[in-house]
Amino acid sequence: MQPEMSYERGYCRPECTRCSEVCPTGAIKRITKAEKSAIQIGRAMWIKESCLAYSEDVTCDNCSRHCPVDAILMIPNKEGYSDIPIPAVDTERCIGCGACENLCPVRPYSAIYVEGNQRHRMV
Amino acid sequence: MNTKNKDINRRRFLKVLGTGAAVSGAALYGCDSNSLRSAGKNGSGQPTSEMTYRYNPHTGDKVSLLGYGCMRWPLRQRTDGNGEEIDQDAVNDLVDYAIAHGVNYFDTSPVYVRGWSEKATGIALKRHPREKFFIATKMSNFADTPDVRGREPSIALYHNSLKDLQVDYIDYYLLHGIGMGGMEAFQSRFIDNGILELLLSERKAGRIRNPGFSYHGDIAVFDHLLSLDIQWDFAQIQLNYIDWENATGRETNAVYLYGELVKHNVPAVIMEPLLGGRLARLNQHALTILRAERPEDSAATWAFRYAGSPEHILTVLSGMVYMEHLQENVRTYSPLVPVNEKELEALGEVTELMLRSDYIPCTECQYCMPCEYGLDIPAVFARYNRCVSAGSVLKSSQDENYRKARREFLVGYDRSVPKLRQADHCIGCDLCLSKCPQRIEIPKEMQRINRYVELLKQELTF
Repeated sequence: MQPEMSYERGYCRPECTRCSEVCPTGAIKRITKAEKSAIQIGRAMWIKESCLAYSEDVTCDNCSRHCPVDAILMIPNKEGYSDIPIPAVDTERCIGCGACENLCPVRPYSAIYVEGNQRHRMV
Repeated sequence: MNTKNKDINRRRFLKVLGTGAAVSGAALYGCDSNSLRSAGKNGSGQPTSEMTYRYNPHTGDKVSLLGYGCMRWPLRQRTDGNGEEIDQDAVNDLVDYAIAHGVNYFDTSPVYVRGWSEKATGIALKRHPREKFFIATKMSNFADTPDVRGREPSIALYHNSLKDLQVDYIDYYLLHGIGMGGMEAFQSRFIDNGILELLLSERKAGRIRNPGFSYHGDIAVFDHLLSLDIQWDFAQIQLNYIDWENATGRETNAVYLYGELVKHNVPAVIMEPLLGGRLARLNQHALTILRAERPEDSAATWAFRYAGSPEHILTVLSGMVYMEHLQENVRTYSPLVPVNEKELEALGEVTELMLRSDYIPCTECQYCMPCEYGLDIPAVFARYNRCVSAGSVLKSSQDENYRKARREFLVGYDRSVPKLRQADHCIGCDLCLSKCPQRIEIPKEMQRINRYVELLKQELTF
C-alpha cells in the first residue's frame, strides 16, 4: 500500500509539493519547490524505435520543450536518414517528473518513459 | 488607425446601406424597396409576424433576414452510454419556434455536427409544409482524395443530402468553401469532375432552385466565380463589423466581397455575424460604449443589426443552440432597426478596441478537427478568448487581480478542455495549418497559450 507514480494521466508538476506537506508520518520528507527541482526520483528512458522524430519523419520536440529541468536536448540524428533532430536525455539532470512521458504523442506506449530509482537522490 | 480613416470607413458603410447621412433613422426601416414587415405582436411580447424579409431578385423568394445556421445543433448523451447524439427533441422545438416566428431559411451541410446535421434538420423540417421553408446545403467535397473529390462520390454526397433532408429539391445549393486550397482545389472539386456542370443541369431540372457558393480564403477563386458566365443566385460571405475592413489571415475584407456581389447582382448570405461568438462577448469597456447608445441591447444584438443593415443581404445566419439566443435574434430582426451613423461610430470604437486586444481569430468552425494528436483546438482557443473578453489575461504576475485571474483561468481551462486535449499536447506537426480558413498559426498559438498556462501553474514571475 505505498503510493506509486504513474504518468498516463498527468505528471509530477514542478510547482507542487503537496504530498510532502500532507504526509502525516513523515514517510515523505517535507521539501520545498527548490529542493524538488534537484531530487531525482527516476530517469527518463528513450525508446528510439517508437519515437516519431526518429522513425516516423515527424518533427516533434514535445518532451524536450516541456522538460522543467532542461534535461532533454534535441540533437542531430546521425544514424538516421532524415534531418529531424531527436531527443537525448541527460540522466544526470533528469529528475523523473514524467512530463516527457505524459506529453509524448506516441500511443499506446510513450516513446519516452520514466524508470523509477530505488532511492531518491540529489542531482 | 487615425480618426480620418475611421470617418471614411463609416461613410463607406453608410453608402452601401443605400442611405445618405441626411436620411433619418426613422426612414431607414420598413420603407425601403427591398424589405417588408407587417404589424402585430403576440401576447407575450414576442413578435410573431414582424420579421424583416428580403427578396431574392432572381427568384422572388421572400427570405427572412434571420437565417438558421444548422452547424451546432444541441447534443445529448446517448442512452446506451455510447457517446453523444443530436438532441432531436430540442432541435424540433427550436425549428418550430423559428418557423412560428417567421424564420424560413435553414442552412446546413453534409459535414456539420459530425455529419448528423442534415438528417436532424430534415426530421425537424419534415414536420412543416415544404413551402414554409427554404433549405440550403452544400457540396462539401473538401478532402483531397479521389474517394471524396471524384465525380461519383461528389454526386453521392448531393443525392445523400436530398435523402437525409427528405426533400425532392434543394432551394439553395452551395459550392462549399471555395477559396480554401486556392484555384487548384476549386478546379479539382468542381471542374475536372464535372460537378459544377452537373449542378447547373440540376438547376434546369428544378432540383436545385438557387445555385451559389460560400467563400473563405483565396480571393482569386471568388473573383473567378463572379467572372464566369453564370448568374449566381446568391453567395455566402463572412461579414461583421470587424471583418468589414479588418479581416484576418487570408480572409478578405467584407467591404470588397459585398461590393463585388452588389456589382454582379448576387445577393449575399452572411455567415459569422458574431465572429465565432466573440462579438457576443465583448469586454466591459467595449460593452460600456455600446450600452451608452442603447442601454438595453446586448452585444449580439448590435452585431446582428450591423450584419443585417446593408440592403443586398438576403439573410444573416446564426447557429442557435439555445432557445434564448433564437428568441433574442428573432427580436432583433422583428423588425430590423438598421444601424445609424452615430451607432456606427460606436461600433468603430469597439472595432479599435478589439483590434488592439490579443484575440485568436478562431471562429470554432472545426475545419482543423480532428487533430491527429487529439487536441481540441477550437476549445483551447475558445477558453483563451473568453479570458481575453473578460479582460482577465494577465500581463504580469504583479497585476492586482493575479490570484483571482490565475485561479479562474486554470480551473476553467481544466473544466472546458480535458487534460489530454490541452495545448501542451501539441507537437507542432503543422497538419492543421492548411485547414484553417482564418489562417491562424495554430501550433504557434498553442505554444503561446501553453507558455501562459505554465507561467500560471508554476506561479512564475513575469
